[in-house]
Amino acid sequence: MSSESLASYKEHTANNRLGFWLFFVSEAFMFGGLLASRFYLWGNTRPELDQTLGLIVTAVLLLSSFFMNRAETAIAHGDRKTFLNSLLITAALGALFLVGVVGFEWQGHIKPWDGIYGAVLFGMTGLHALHVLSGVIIILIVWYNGRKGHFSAERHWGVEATAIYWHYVDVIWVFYYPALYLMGTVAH
Amino acid sequence: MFINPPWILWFISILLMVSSVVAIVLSLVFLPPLEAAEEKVKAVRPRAVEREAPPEPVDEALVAARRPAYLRGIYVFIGLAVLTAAEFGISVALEGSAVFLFVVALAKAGVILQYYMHVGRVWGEEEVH
Repeated sequence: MSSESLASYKEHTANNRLGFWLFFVSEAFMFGGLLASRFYLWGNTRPELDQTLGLIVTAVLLLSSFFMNRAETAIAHGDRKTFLNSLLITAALGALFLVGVVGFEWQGHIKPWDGIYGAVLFGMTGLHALHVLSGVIIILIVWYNGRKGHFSAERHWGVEATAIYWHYVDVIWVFYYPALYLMGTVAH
Repeated sequence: MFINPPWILWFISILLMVSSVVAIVLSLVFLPPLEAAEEKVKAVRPRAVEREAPPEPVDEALVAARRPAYLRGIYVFIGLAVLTAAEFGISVALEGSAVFLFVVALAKAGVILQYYMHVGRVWGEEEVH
């Protein structure tokens, strides 16, 4: 790639990055609104949720963030094999997180129509799970494109954007996990 | 009214999210390929781009920088795991103190923003690869 082309790509990437972060700011208002509704409606209480399951899905998401970072680091250093493998592991862990939340947590004793606890719990975890689902789909698309050689050490904005998106989903859970599972006393 | 406010919020959020996902997926599916890599591959194997791209030439400087970069990712992960364990411990010891839990959550978010999301790049702090 010529130095002129690379310079142009870097400039475009800088603009893309700024736009992407502005998108996250708008997302923060949406997630923040739900978090605020949790404190407004629940106060210093919380529903009785499976603590083990909460900790497991949190650990799974944390581990997926590690592998996403590893994938981005790998492509930035020209390590294509690690890049592709790490992406697949990230997608698998994301799917595992969804199984934990949708397949187990949502099948518990609290239902969406169970007043403020059900509405807030399903609203927060539902919106977050949708982001995780979209993240998994995007990661698989990036993996598919990566196999075809769309990314290189110099040009991998698609990977960087996916990684930032995935870590953002993790950051949201960093606040949602204690708000849903740990803060306040259990309401009976 | 048959739908209470949290449900409306929930449905609007889902509608917004689904439309965002569709837009992102479509833009990624129709992502233009990396021209240089594609031309290079086509020169070697005419239909190779449709299968798997060949390995790129090895840059020694990049290879040398891999290990410290991977190690940093591991250290950050360990730090986040410790903070998560502390979070859980605090919730048990202090009976879910919101203030302490928020402090830990902010610390975790700060670490992720700085080391995983590279927030510094927004204002031009490029890292050396």
